[in-house]
Amino acid sequence: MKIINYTIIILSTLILAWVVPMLYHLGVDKASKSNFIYYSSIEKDFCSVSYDKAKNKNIRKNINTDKEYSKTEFDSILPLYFHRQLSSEGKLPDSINGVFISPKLLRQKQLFFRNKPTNKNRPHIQLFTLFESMSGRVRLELPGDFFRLDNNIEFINPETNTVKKEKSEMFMNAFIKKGFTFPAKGVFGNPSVLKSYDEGYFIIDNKDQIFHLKMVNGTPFFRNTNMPIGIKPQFISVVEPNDKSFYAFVFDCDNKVYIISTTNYNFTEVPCPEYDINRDNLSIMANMLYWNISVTSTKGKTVFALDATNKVVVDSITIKSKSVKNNLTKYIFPFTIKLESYNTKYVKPSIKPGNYYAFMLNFFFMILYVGVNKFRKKEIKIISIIWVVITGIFGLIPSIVFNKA
Amino acid sequence: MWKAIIYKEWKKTKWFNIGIWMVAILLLTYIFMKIGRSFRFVGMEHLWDVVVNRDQFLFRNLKYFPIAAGIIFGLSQFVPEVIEKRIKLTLHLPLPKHRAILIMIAYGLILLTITFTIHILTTIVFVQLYFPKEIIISMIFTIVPWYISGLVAYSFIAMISLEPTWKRRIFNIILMVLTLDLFYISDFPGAYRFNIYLVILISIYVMPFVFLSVNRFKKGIQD
Repeated sequence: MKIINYTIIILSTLILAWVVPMLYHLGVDKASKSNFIYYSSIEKDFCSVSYDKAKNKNIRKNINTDKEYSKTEFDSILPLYFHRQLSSEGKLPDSINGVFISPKLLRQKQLFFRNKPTNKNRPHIQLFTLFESMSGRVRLELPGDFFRLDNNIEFINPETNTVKKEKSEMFMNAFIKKGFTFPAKGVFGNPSVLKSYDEGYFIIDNKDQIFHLKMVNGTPFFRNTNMPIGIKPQFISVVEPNDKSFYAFVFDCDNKVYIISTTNYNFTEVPCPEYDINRDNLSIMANMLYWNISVTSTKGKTVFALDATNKVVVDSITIKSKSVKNNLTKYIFPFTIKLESYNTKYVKPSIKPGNYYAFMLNFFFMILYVGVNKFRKKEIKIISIIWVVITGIFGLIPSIVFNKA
Repeated sequence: MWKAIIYKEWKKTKWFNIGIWMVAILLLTYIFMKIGRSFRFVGMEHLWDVVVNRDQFLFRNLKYFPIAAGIIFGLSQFVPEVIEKRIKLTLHLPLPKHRAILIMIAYGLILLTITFTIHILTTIVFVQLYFPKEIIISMIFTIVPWYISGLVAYSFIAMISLEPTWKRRIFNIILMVLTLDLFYISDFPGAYRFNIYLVILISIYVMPFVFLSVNRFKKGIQD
């Protein structure tokens, strides 16, 4: 019976190591101060919008000079971002830095892209919608089937839940003809009818080559992108931008980011701040002249401004995060257990050890255990003392509560 | 002797069992009718689209059935034993130590497992008519933790009911609530896919807990 009692103490300890820190964070965590950072094509400097709690308003300023702007002034120094507002007020300039601009051109060259770790780390049902890319219709329509890609490609008719043999064979032949190695390691697309056009899927085969799959007039369009040697892709985000200049972003195992150009599938590396796809948030705000590449991690935010034409870094800024989290947990708790994370949609247990002080505190809890049991005239068990020394407050509570078998 | 114990358990829990089966049938009928309505209104392709591309889960109504079944079945089996002090008689039967309790627990766990297995299999039989294996696998990984939580709830209810002191009973209830919370951390379809083994392990881990309560009951612990 003692063994069963110990198993109860172990379970209780582990559950407390999960629940107590979670409750602590629920009680004390505050949202980190977020600020939008833009690269101004007029000032040639980084500007930001951030909320000032003391003044109870948004502050718009040049980060380097600290010069503050009104809302209207801010619009005018960032015409490439706020062109719609400027256009409605008739204040949109004809050219910036000698480059002719128009609302149509600005819209075409504008791109907002965000990638968070859960885009990659999430359960996904391995069925895919392949739209007709040249339907001749303005709006995309569901194609009437889904495909799966295991050791072959199969199209399934959802109305009958049966395989469309003819179509499957036609696409399978295209895969064989182009030297695709089954099974696929990843299939990446953008299966939304809300987008303006469709570029199908980019597929990583078993030899880490990237292939491009589309359906054109009901027939397969399947190409090897002939990715340069040395890139080992781990994730692809198909973008389909308005100007049709590129297909997708490729994230490789060395945490580098590439774009696949629509011209001969050229791979161009996008200079990017230190970026871990499994932990950090990436956002790209692109316009006619500059690309704003921003990586937000626990350390802070780093922004690169790139020349839109040649993707060369023209400026960069790093804002270190002020620790808004009261990180007392690591001083009190010898370890904490997490089952959920902002970085994944999976339930995934992870143990985070506390620091040296927390282990020192465990001895205090051990003395407390002895004191409480002496006071209550209960048996003091060596094994429980060891357990409290290892697990601290998490082990102390169940060791007292479940003292008697 | 074990047949007599099982007969006694059946007599005691029969109507609760039938009630659980009725709810199980009604729940599945409701879910199938609801999905059938969606078929007719928006078509299968749209339904597949929301499941595959928009992470919708069509069987969310199953979520609390297993845990409710486990708790109700456990209470129906063990509360009368405690209130009417019948457990004292059971513990004095001429059987090896804990054998009678083992049979009672095995009866409950096997019956619940059969009920849950039939429920899951019926769902799969229906689902495989309209959905491919990929959607079925995702569905299984989503609902299995809920069904296992029913078995865990049952084990805890047995432990709590047979515990002789109220103080320890309250701590056991707290432990049960927190342990069951582990099975409901995420609703996202397939979230438990890589840790389903952990969920199964917990259900096995908590099964012997009841014997501690029985032992304390036999010892006549008062505090």
